[in-house]
Amino acid sequence: MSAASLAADDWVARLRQIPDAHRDFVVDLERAELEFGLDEVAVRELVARGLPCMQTAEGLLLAAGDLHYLGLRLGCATVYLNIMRGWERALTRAAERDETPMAVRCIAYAEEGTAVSVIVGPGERQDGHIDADQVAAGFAVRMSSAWPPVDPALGELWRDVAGLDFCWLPQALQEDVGFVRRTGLSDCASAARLLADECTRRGCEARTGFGLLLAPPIATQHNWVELREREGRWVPSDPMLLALLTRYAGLDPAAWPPTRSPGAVLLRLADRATPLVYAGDEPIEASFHTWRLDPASAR
Amino acid sequence: MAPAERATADRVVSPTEAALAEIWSQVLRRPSIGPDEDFFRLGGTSLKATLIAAQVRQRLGAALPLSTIFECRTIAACATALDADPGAATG
Repeated sequence: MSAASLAADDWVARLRQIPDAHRDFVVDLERAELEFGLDEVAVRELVARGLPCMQTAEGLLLAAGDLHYLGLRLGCATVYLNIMRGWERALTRAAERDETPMAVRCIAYAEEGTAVSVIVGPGERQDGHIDADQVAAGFAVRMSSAWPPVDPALGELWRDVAGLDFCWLPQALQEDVGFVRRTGLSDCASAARLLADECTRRGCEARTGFGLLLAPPIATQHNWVELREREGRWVPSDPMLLALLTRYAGLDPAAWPPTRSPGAVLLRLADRATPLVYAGDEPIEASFHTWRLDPASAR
Repeated sequence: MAPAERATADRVVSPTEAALAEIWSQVLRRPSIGPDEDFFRLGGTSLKATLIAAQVRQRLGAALPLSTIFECRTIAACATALDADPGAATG
Protein backbone atom coordinates (compact mmCIF):
# COMPACT_ATOMS: atom_id res chain seq x y z
CA MET A 1 0.00 0.00 0.00
CA SER A 2 1.38 3.41 -0.97
CA ALA A 3 2.03 6.29 1.40
CA ALA A 4 -0.67 8.27 -0.41
CA SER A 5 -3.20 5.48 0.20
CA LEU A 6 -2.28 5.32 3.87
CA ALA A 7 -2.66 9.07 4.17
CA ALA A 8 -6.07 8.96 2.48
CA ASP A 9 -7.18 6.18 4.83
CA ASP A 10 -6.03 8.26 7.80
CA TRP A 11 -7.86 11.38 6.58
CA VAL A 12 -11.08 9.45 6.01
CA ALA A 13 -10.78 7.84 9.46
CA ARG A 14 -10.38 11.27 11.03
CA LEU A 15 -13.44 12.59 9.21
CA ARG A 16 -15.48 9.62 10.36
CA GLN A 17 -15.18 10.94 13.92
CA ILE A 18 -17.92 13.37 12.86
CA PRO A 19 -21.24 11.59 13.38
CA ASP A 20 -23.16 11.07 10.12
CA ALA A 21 -26.23 12.56 11.78
CA HIS A 22 -24.50 15.97 11.63
CA ARG A 23 -23.63 15.73 7.95
CA ASP A 24 -25.58 17.46 5.19
CA PHE A 25 -25.18 15.35 2.06
CA VAL A 26 -25.77 18.04 -0.54
CA VAL A 27 -22.75 17.95 -2.86
CA ASP A 28 -23.16 16.02 -6.11
CA LEU A 29 -20.32 14.76 -8.27
CA GLU A 30 -20.35 17.81 -10.55
CA ARG A 31 -19.94 20.21 -7.62
CA ALA A 32 -17.33 17.93 -6.03
CA GLU A 33 -15.14 18.35 -9.08
CA LEU A 34 -15.89 22.01 -9.78
CA GLU A 35 -15.52 23.28 -6.21
CA PHE A 36 -13.20 20.80 -4.52
CA GLY A 37 -11.20 19.45 -7.45
CA LEU A 38 -12.23 15.85 -6.76
CA ASP A 39 -13.35 14.07 -9.92
CA GLU A 40 -15.65 11.07 -9.94
CA VAL A 41 -12.80 8.55 -9.91
CA ALA A 42 -11.24 10.19 -6.85
CA VAL A 43 -14.58 10.48 -5.06
CA ARG A 44 -15.46 6.82 -5.66
CA GLU A 45 -12.05 5.73 -4.42
CA LEU A 46 -12.49 7.79 -1.25
CA VAL A 47 -15.99 6.36 -0.78
CA ALA A 48 -14.50 2.87 -1.12
CA ARG A 49 -12.11 3.84 1.68
CA GLY A 50 -15.05 4.76 3.90
CA LEU A 51 -15.85 8.39 3.06
CA PRO A 52 -19.44 8.95 4.21
CA CYS A 53 -21.92 9.48 1.38
CA MET A 54 -25.56 9.10 0.50
CA GLN A 55 -26.80 7.29 -2.59
CA THR A 56 -29.96 8.85 -3.98
CA ALA A 57 -32.02 8.39 -7.12
CA GLU A 58 -30.23 11.43 -8.56
CA GLY A 59 -26.80 10.03 -7.74
CA LEU A 60 -24.13 10.11 -5.09
CA LEU A 61 -24.20 12.95 -2.55
CA LEU A 62 -21.39 13.98 -0.22
CA ALA A 63 -20.76 16.45 2.59
CA ALA A 64 -19.03 19.72 1.69
CA GLY A 65 -16.88 19.71 4.83
CA ASP A 66 -15.48 16.27 4.03
CA LEU A 67 -14.60 17.26 0.47
CA HIS A 68 -13.04 20.54 1.59
CA TYR A 69 -10.85 18.68 4.11
CA LEU A 70 -9.74 16.08 1.57
CA GLY A 71 -9.36 18.54 -1.31
CA LEU A 72 -6.99 20.70 0.72
CA ARG A 73 -4.86 17.79 1.83
CA LEU A 74 -4.75 16.23 -1.62
CA GLY A 75 -3.81 19.63 -3.07
CA CYS A 76 -6.65 19.58 -5.60
CA ALA A 77 -9.02 22.13 -4.00
CA THR A 78 -7.37 24.89 -6.02
CA VAL A 79 -10.25 27.30 -5.54
CA TYR A 80 -9.89 27.22 -1.77
CA LEU A 81 -6.10 27.18 -1.98
CA ASN A 82 -6.30 30.34 -4.11
CA ILE A 83 -8.63 31.96 -1.59
CA MET A 84 -6.12 31.23 1.18
CA ARG A 85 -3.30 32.67 -0.93
CA GLY A 86 -5.39 35.82 -1.17
CA TRP A 87 -5.65 35.89 2.64
CA GLU A 88 -1.89 35.44 2.90
CA ARG A 89 -1.23 38.31 0.49
CA ALA A 90 -3.69 40.56 2.31
CA LEU A 91 -2.13 39.79 5.69
CA THR A 92 1.48 40.30 4.69
CA ARG A 93 0.60 43.48 2.79
CA ALA A 94 -1.45 44.94 5.66
CA ALA A 95 1.41 44.18 8.06
CA GLU A 96 3.75 46.37 6.02
CA ARG A 97 2.05 49.55 7.19
CA ASP A 98 0.70 50.73 10.54
CA GLU A 99 -2.76 51.39 9.21
CA THR A 100 -4.72 50.60 6.06
CA PRO A 101 -7.95 52.41 5.14
CA MET A 102 -10.44 49.94 3.68
CA ALA A 103 -13.92 50.08 2.20
CA VAL A 104 -16.50 47.33 2.67
CA ARG A 105 -19.62 46.81 0.60
CA CYS A 106 -22.47 44.44 1.43
CA ILE A 107 -24.39 42.73 -1.37
CA ALA A 108 -27.69 41.27 -0.14
CA TYR A 109 -29.71 38.58 -1.89
CA ALA A 110 -33.25 39.97 -1.75
CA GLU A 111 -35.45 42.14 -3.93
CA GLU A 112 -34.41 45.68 -4.77
CA GLY A 113 -36.06 48.09 -2.34
CA THR A 114 -36.18 45.61 0.55
CA ALA A 115 -35.62 47.37 3.88
CA VAL A 116 -32.55 45.87 5.55
CA SER A 117 -30.44 46.32 8.64
CA VAL A 118 -26.74 45.44 8.31
CA ILE A 119 -24.37 44.88 11.22
CA VAL A 120 -21.40 47.14 10.50
CA GLY A 121 -19.73 47.04 13.91
CA PRO A 122 -20.21 45.69 17.43
CA GLY A 123 -23.65 46.95 18.43
CA GLU A 124 -23.77 49.10 15.32
CA ARG A 125 -26.20 48.73 12.41
CA GLN A 126 -26.70 50.51 9.12
CA ASP A 127 -30.35 50.65 8.09
CA GLY A 128 -31.40 51.22 4.50
CA HIS A 129 -32.80 49.59 1.39
CA ILE A 130 -31.27 47.26 -1.16
CA ASP A 131 -30.46 49.44 -4.13
CA ALA A 132 -30.57 48.69 -7.85
CA ASP A 133 -27.08 47.17 -7.66
CA GLN A 134 -28.09 44.82 -4.81
CA VAL A 135 -25.99 46.88 -2.40
CA ALA A 136 -27.39 46.88 1.15
CA ALA A 137 -24.69 48.87 2.90
CA GLY A 138 -21.21 50.31 2.54
CA PHE A 139 -18.76 51.64 5.06
CA ALA A 140 -15.10 52.51 5.57
CA VAL A 141 -12.74 51.28 8.28
CA ARG A 142 -9.12 51.86 9.25
CA MET A 143 -7.36 48.58 9.91
CA SER A 144 -4.43 48.74 12.34
CA SER A 145 -1.51 46.34 12.28
CA ALA A 146 -0.11 47.57 15.61
CA TRP A 147 -1.08 44.59 17.73
CA PRO A 148 1.18 42.96 20.34
CA PRO A 149 1.84 39.21 20.33
CA VAL A 150 0.22 36.89 22.82
CA ASP A 151 1.85 36.63 26.27
CA PRO A 152 4.61 33.98 26.04
CA ALA A 153 2.98 32.18 28.98
CA LEU A 154 0.20 31.21 26.55
CA GLY A 155 2.59 30.15 23.80
CA GLU A 156 2.21 26.42 24.34
CA LEU A 157 -1.59 26.64 24.25
CA TRP A 158 -1.39 28.70 21.06
CA ARG A 159 0.94 26.16 19.46
CA ASP A 160 -1.42 23.34 20.46
CA VAL A 161 -4.35 25.06 18.77
CA ALA A 162 -2.22 25.81 15.70
CA GLY A 163 -1.68 22.05 15.48
CA LEU A 164 -5.39 21.15 15.47
CA ASP A 165 -6.69 19.38 12.40
CA PHE A 166 -8.61 22.04 10.46
CA CYS A 167 -11.99 20.95 9.19
CA TRP A 168 -15.31 22.64 8.43
CA LEU A 169 -17.36 21.34 11.34
CA PRO A 170 -21.13 20.94 11.17
CA GLN A 171 -22.84 23.81 12.96
CA ALA A 172 -24.01 21.53 15.77
CA LEU A 173 -20.39 20.78 16.71
CA GLN A 174 -18.94 24.28 16.41
CA GLU A 175 -19.56 25.14 20.06
CA ASP A 176 -18.64 21.65 21.27
CA VAL A 177 -15.19 22.15 22.75
CA GLY A 178 -15.33 18.59 24.10
CA PHE A 179 -15.55 17.28 20.53
CA VAL A 180 -12.49 19.30 19.56
CA ARG A 181 -10.52 17.99 22.54
CA ARG A 182 -11.54 14.37 21.82
CA THR A 183 -10.96 14.35 18.08
CA GLY A 184 -8.42 17.10 17.34
CA LEU A 185 -10.74 18.34 14.58
CA SER A 186 -11.57 22.03 14.69
CA ASP A 187 -12.74 24.97 12.65
CA CYS A 188 -12.24 28.67 13.31
CA ALA A 189 -15.30 28.99 15.54
CA SER A 190 -14.50 26.01 17.74
CA ALA A 191 -10.82 26.97 17.98
CA ALA A 192 -11.82 30.46 19.10
CA ARG A 193 -14.24 29.02 21.64
CA LEU A 194 -11.63 26.61 22.99
CA LEU A 195 -9.02 29.38 23.33
CA ALA A 196 -11.43 31.79 25.02
CA ASP A 197 -12.54 29.10 27.49
CA GLU A 198 -9.00 27.99 28.24
CA CYS A 199 -7.71 31.55 28.70
CA THR A 200 -10.59 32.36 31.01
CA ARG A 201 -9.85 29.22 33.03
CA ARG A 202 -6.25 30.42 33.40
CA GLY A 203 -7.36 33.82 34.61
CA CYS A 204 -6.81 35.76 31.38
CA GLU A 205 -9.61 37.96 30.13
CA ALA A 206 -10.65 36.59 26.74
CA ARG A 207 -13.61 36.58 24.39
CA THR A 208 -14.49 35.28 20.96
CA GLY A 209 -14.73 37.62 18.00
CA PHE A 210 -16.68 37.35 14.77
CA GLY A 211 -16.57 39.48 11.69
CA LEU A 212 -14.84 39.79 8.35
CA LEU A 213 -11.43 38.73 7.16
CA LEU A 214 -10.60 41.53 4.72
CA ALA A 215 -8.67 40.21 1.73
CA PRO A 216 -9.51 42.35 -1.31
CA PRO A 217 -11.74 41.91 -3.13
CA ILE A 218 -13.36 39.37 -0.81
CA ALA A 219 -14.40 39.82 2.82
CA THR A 220 -14.97 36.41 4.40
CA GLN A 221 -16.94 35.78 7.57
CA HIS A 222 -14.59 34.45 10.22
CA ASN A 223 -14.18 33.73 13.96
CA TRP A 224 -11.18 34.36 16.20
CA VAL A 225 -10.24 34.94 19.86
CA GLU A 226 -9.43 38.24 21.54
CA LEU A 227 -7.38 38.85 24.68
CA ARG A 228 -7.60 41.90 26.92
CA GLU A 229 -4.46 44.00 27.31
CA ARG A 230 -3.60 45.73 30.58
CA GLU A 231 -4.50 49.02 28.90
CA GLY A 232 -7.96 47.65 28.21
CA ARG A 233 -7.67 47.09 24.47
CA TRP A 234 -8.85 43.77 23.02
CA VAL A 235 -6.19 42.11 20.87
CA PRO A 236 -7.33 39.71 18.11
CA SER A 237 -5.45 36.44 17.76
CA ASP A 238 -5.86 33.38 15.56
CA PRO A 239 -3.24 30.63 15.69
CA MET A 240 -5.33 28.29 13.55
CA LEU A 241 -5.59 30.81 10.70
CA LEU A 242 -1.83 31.41 10.74
CA ALA A 243 -1.17 27.65 10.77
CA LEU A 244 -3.48 27.18 7.77
CA LEU A 245 -1.80 29.95 5.81
CA THR A 246 1.61 28.57 6.66
CA ARG A 247 0.63 25.08 5.52
CA TYR A 248 -1.38 25.92 2.42
CA ALA A 249 -0.60 29.47 1.32
CA GLY A 250 3.11 30.03 1.78
CA LEU A 251 2.94 32.29 4.85
CA ASP A 252 6.40 32.60 6.37
CA PRO A 253 6.26 30.70 9.69
CA ALA A 254 9.32 32.50 11.03
CA ALA A 255 7.67 35.88 10.55
CA TRP A 256 4.25 34.65 11.61
CA PRO A 257 4.45 32.42 14.70
CA PRO A 258 1.04 31.36 16.11
CA THR A 259 1.29 34.05 18.81
CA ARG A 260 1.48 36.96 16.33
CA SER A 261 -1.76 38.86 15.81
CA PRO A 262 -3.35 38.85 12.34
CA GLY A 263 -5.53 41.72 13.53
CA ALA A 264 -4.59 43.83 10.53
CA VAL A 265 -7.12 41.91 8.44
CA LEU A 266 -9.75 41.02 11.08
CA LEU A 267 -12.72 43.39 11.34
CA ARG A 268 -14.75 42.69 14.45
CA LEU A 269 -18.52 42.95 14.00
CA ALA A 270 -19.92 40.82 16.84
CA ASP A 271 -18.99 38.58 19.75
CA ARG A 272 -19.90 35.38 17.97
CA ALA A 273 -21.11 34.07 14.63
CA THR A 274 -24.38 35.67 13.62
CA PRO A 275 -26.18 36.61 10.42
CA LEU A 276 -25.03 40.09 9.41
CA VAL A 277 -28.01 41.26 7.35
CA TYR A 278 -31.67 41.28 8.35
CA ALA A 279 -34.93 42.15 6.64
CA GLY A 280 -37.04 42.85 9.69
CA ASP A 281 -36.26 39.97 12.02
CA GLU A 282 -35.39 37.59 9.20
CA PRO A 283 -31.72 37.03 8.37
CA ILE A 284 -30.96 37.20 4.66
CA GLU A 285 -27.99 35.92 2.70
CA ALA A 286 -25.28 38.41 1.87
CA SER A 287 -21.73 38.61 0.64
CA PHE A 288 -19.16 41.25 1.41
CA HIS A 289 -16.55 42.85 -0.81
CA THR A 290 -13.66 45.02 0.20
CA TRP A 291 -10.94 47.18 -1.29
CA ARG A 292 -8.13 49.40 -0.09
CA LEU A 293 -8.85 53.12 -0.08
CA ASP A 294 -5.30 54.39 -0.25
CA PRO A 295 -4.61 55.98 -3.65
CA ALA A 296 -1.62 53.73 -4.34
CA SER A 297 -3.79 50.61 -4.24
CA ALA A 298 -5.83 49.38 -7.14
CA ARG A 299 -9.40 48.62 -6.29
CA MET B 1 -22.84 34.72 -38.79
CA ALA B 2 -19.43 33.40 -37.85
CA PRO B 3 -19.53 29.75 -36.77
CA ALA B 4 -18.33 30.59 -33.28
CA GLU B 5 -21.04 33.15 -32.76
CA ARG B 6 -24.52 32.47 -31.48
CA ALA B 7 -27.65 34.53 -31.73
CA THR B 8 -29.84 35.28 -28.75
CA ALA B 9 -33.28 36.85 -28.94
CA ASP B 10 -31.59 40.24 -28.64
CA ARG B 11 -28.30 40.12 -30.48
CA VAL B 12 -25.31 38.12 -31.60
CA VAL B 13 -23.20 36.66 -28.81
CA SER B 14 -19.43 36.82 -29.20
CA PRO B 15 -17.26 33.72 -28.81
CA THR B 16 -15.95 35.02 -25.47
CA GLU B 17 -19.49 35.67 -24.27
CA ALA B 18 -20.52 32.17 -25.34
CA ALA B 19 -17.61 30.62 -23.45
CA LEU B 20 -18.33 32.70 -20.35
CA ALA B 21 -22.04 31.86 -20.56
CA GLU B 22 -21.21 28.14 -20.45
CA ILE B 23 -19.03 28.65 -17.36
CA TRP B 24 -21.51 30.93 -15.58
CA SER B 25 -24.34 28.45 -16.28
CA GLN B 26 -22.37 25.58 -14.80
CA VAL B 27 -21.22 27.48 -11.71
CA LEU B 28 -24.54 29.22 -11.05
CA ARG B 29 -26.47 26.06 -11.96
CA ARG B 30 -28.79 27.66 -14.46
CA PRO B 31 -29.69 26.14 -17.82
CA SER B 32 -28.93 29.38 -19.64
CA ILE B 33 -27.83 32.88 -18.77
CA GLY B 34 -28.21 35.93 -20.96
CA PRO B 35 -25.23 38.20 -21.67
CA ASP B 36 -26.76 41.09 -19.75
CA GLU B 37 -28.02 39.25 -16.68
CA ASP B 38 -26.58 40.52 -13.39
CA PHE B 39 -24.20 38.19 -11.52
CA PHE B 40 -25.55 39.10 -8.09
CA ARG B 41 -29.21 38.91 -9.13
CA LEU B 42 -28.42 35.38 -10.30
CA GLY B 43 -27.33 34.57 -6.74
CA GLY B 44 -23.63 35.02 -7.41
CA THR B 45 -21.45 34.97 -4.30
CA SER B 46 -17.76 35.53 -3.70
CA LEU B 47 -17.18 31.77 -3.81
CA LYS B 48 -19.05 31.46 -7.10
CA ALA B 49 -17.02 34.32 -8.56
CA THR B 50 -13.88 32.47 -7.46
CA LEU B 51 -15.15 29.30 -9.15
CA ILE B 52 -15.85 31.23 -12.35
CA ALA B 53 -12.38 32.78 -12.30
CA ALA B 54 -10.83 29.33 -11.85
CA GLN B 55 -12.82 27.87 -14.74
CA VAL B 56 -11.92 30.81 -17.00
CA ARG B 57 -8.26 30.21 -16.21
CA GLN B 58 -8.57 26.46 -16.79
CA ARG B 59 -10.70 26.45 -19.94
CA LEU B 60 -9.80 29.73 -21.64
CA GLY B 61 -6.25 30.09 -20.35
CA ALA B 62 -7.12 33.62 -19.30
CA ALA B 63 -7.35 35.50 -16.04
CA LEU B 64 -10.62 37.12 -15.10
CA PRO B 65 -9.95 38.93 -11.80
CA LEU B 66 -12.63 38.69 -9.13
CA SER B 67 -12.75 42.47 -8.99
CA THR B 68 -13.68 42.49 -12.70
CA ILE B 69 -16.57 40.10 -12.07
CA PHE B 70 -17.76 42.22 -9.13
CA GLU B 71 -17.52 45.45 -11.09
CA CYS B 72 -18.66 44.29 -14.54
CA ARG B 73 -21.38 41.98 -13.20
CA THR B 74 -22.58 40.67 -16.59
CA ILE B 75 -21.23 38.18 -19.09
CA ALA B 76 -21.18 40.86 -21.78
CA ALA B 77 -19.16 43.30 -19.69
CA CYS B 78 -16.77 40.60 -18.46
CA ALA B 79 -16.24 39.42 -22.04
CA THR B 80 -15.48 42.96 -23.14
CA ALA B 81 -12.95 43.30 -20.31
CA LEU B 82 -11.35 39.97 -21.22
CA ASP B 83 -11.17 40.81 -24.94
CA ALA B 84 -9.90 44.33 -24.35
CA ASP B 85 -7.14 43.52 -21.91
CA PRO B 86 -5.20 40.43 -22.89
CA GLY B 87 -2.42 41.59 -20.54
CA ALA B 88 -4.70 41.22 -17.54
CA ALA B 89 -6.05 38.06 -19.08
CA THR B 90 -2.70 36.42 -18.78
CA GLY B 91 -1.80 37.91 -15.41
